[in-house]
Amino acid sequence: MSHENYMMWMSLDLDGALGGTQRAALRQHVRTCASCAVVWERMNLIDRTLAVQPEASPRIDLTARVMARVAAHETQRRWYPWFLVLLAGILTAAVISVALPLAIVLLGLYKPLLDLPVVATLIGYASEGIAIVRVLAVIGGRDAGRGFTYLTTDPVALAVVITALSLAATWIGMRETIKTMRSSEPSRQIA
Amino acid sequence: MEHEQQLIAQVVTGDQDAFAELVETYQRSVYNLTYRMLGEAGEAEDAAQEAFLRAYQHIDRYDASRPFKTWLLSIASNYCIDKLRKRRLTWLSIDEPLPPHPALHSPEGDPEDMALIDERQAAVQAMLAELAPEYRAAVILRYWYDMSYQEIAELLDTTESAIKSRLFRARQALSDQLQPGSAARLIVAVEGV
Repeated sequence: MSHENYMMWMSLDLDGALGGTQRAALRQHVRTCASCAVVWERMNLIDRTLAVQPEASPRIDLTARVMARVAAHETQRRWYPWFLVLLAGILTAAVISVALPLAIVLLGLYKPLLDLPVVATLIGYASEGIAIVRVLAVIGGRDAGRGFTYLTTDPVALAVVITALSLAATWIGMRETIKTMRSSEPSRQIA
Repeated sequence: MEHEQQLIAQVVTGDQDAFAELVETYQRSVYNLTYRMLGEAGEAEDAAQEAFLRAYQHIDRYDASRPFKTWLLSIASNYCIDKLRKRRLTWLSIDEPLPPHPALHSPEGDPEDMALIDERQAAVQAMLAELAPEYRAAVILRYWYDMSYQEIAELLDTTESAIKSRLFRARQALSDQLQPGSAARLIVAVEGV
């Protein structure tokens, strides 16, 4: 039998997995083979060293950190689909708002478009919206009650305010989502 | 055990408090494994957190017929093996030991004793750092967790004969690299305990 096989037996013997006959043969071989005796002595030394090592403990409260990451993961999981929908909506709106005017101008459609009654009405509303914003700015703090009544009764003014609020909400939502995603990344600085 | 299965069932339904209890129970075992695998306390803490987070995310895949601790340790060891494979393994000489783990220091005591503890820990971590990740995992599970060949094989998703072979190769590699100076340090380490 080769020295390599005896060394395998040494390893098995250290784990208590060697049969009695094989163990006796190993002992006999180690007594007569100097090179295997050195390996046997070293393997025993390593075995004794590893067998008495203590368990290492974390320096920090792992539970608190793990649970902070679990909470961040849960928030992310809940909001992520909505974030994707929102992002897709914003991207679509951005593409349309650039591509549509470009197409209209490049294809020379703006002249016939301007003649359409609905377009004329929309332009009118837009002009009126700008005028309303100006008026609101003037009314401002002087007569908030009248301003509010005006807002709730005029559809264009209401649309302007709702759009502004939607944009603000989108901005806050995106900012919070990004913040949450960042906080769920592996980090040692989570308190 | 029954209480543990109850906690796991609660975690599946989204109970974070139940999961916190499981983390509290197993944090030391998981951390010891990641520390012995990676050899650096900060990295080991991150790896332990990651292992627990992965366990939480995939709790529905846990097989209740196996011990939860074994499942957790398998996540942690696989994560560490991947991490060690990804980073270019720094082969540390046994003469250039890693700094010892702070939590293994005796908080009080003779400075000479503390120096001896440092010496032992440094020698042991340097020995482990010499081994390939798969061999290292087998050695750690055998010595620190007192696992059988079968348990290690299940945990590392391999066969018992592969584990016997890994342990043999690991011991052979360690004894091959044992120089007279480091052998003397290990003798001090063993006798000093």
